[in-house]
Amino acid sequence: MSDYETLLTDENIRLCKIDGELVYLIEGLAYENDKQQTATYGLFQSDLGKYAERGQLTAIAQFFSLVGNGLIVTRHIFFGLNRPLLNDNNMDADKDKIVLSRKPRWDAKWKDKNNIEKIGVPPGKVFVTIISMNTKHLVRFPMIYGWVDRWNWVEEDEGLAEAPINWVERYGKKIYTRP
Amino acid sequence: MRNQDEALSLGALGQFVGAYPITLFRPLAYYDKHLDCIRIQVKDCSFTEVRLNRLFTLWYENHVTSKKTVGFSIKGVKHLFVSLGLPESGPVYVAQIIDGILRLYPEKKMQEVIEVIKKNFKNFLDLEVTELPPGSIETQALSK
Repeated sequence: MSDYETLLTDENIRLCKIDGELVYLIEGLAYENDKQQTATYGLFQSDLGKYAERGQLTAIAQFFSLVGNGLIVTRHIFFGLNRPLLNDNNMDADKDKIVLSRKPRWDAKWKDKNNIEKIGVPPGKVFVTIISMNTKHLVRFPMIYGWVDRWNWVEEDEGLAEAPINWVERYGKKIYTRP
Repeated sequence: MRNQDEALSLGALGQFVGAYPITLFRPLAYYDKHLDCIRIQVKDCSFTEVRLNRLFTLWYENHVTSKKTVGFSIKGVKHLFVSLGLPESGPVYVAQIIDGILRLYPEKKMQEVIEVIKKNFKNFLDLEVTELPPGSIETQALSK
């Protein structure tokens, strides 16, 4: 396993320097070998930096709250996106994705550079985080199970609480539900 | 690690804004390489993504009493760029892509979806798509 230096720990988020890159490491739930496990998800700080450059402050607030401290209380995990996806030289990138969903107790709003405001959950919505499995960068980042690609709210399914609407059509399969 | 969902990581936030100065939000269109889509966002706020069809997802603002759209995404961009024959270099604009999709998929349902997009984002269709990878997406996709 690569050596890495932890620069900061704040609740479930660690900022680490790994092979010269600053990476957020987040503890979250995963389902491997037929059992629930805790896994480490990663996001390059430079990728979050693009949100700052674009002025997407709400997404930053959601990252430092709902993503960073929410993956560990994920309700459902889905495997595979049901749409053709080509990225990073991978023709089957849709099969490298997992989606973590849950219904948090609140939404996050940017207050200022030192603060995040908790506001009510939008009714009938669930929060999802889309992950790319770490298949290509295991040598440099062996501690990372998956990379955080995207986080947002979607409508809740009528039949399965805390799951995205039409999850059967959206995803390959559901692989885990936390009791 | 605490197992709860009420925590705010304000220390990590403080470190982050020290490293990456915050920019004022302006309406924008950019390519998301991780999910191979173009995202058009006109307001910084919490929103819910609602799928319209296989190509378009509409974003509705959360925490408001009346439905208001604040963005949309166009999926399957690499395939689209090949099909549309978009230029190998130079700027690509949102309107170009939408008009191309309509030429490619002239069916009534797609027309209706594009009408919704055009109606809601008429002032933002001239946005240039940023963060496209070096070389055109079309060239990259064809080389696969």
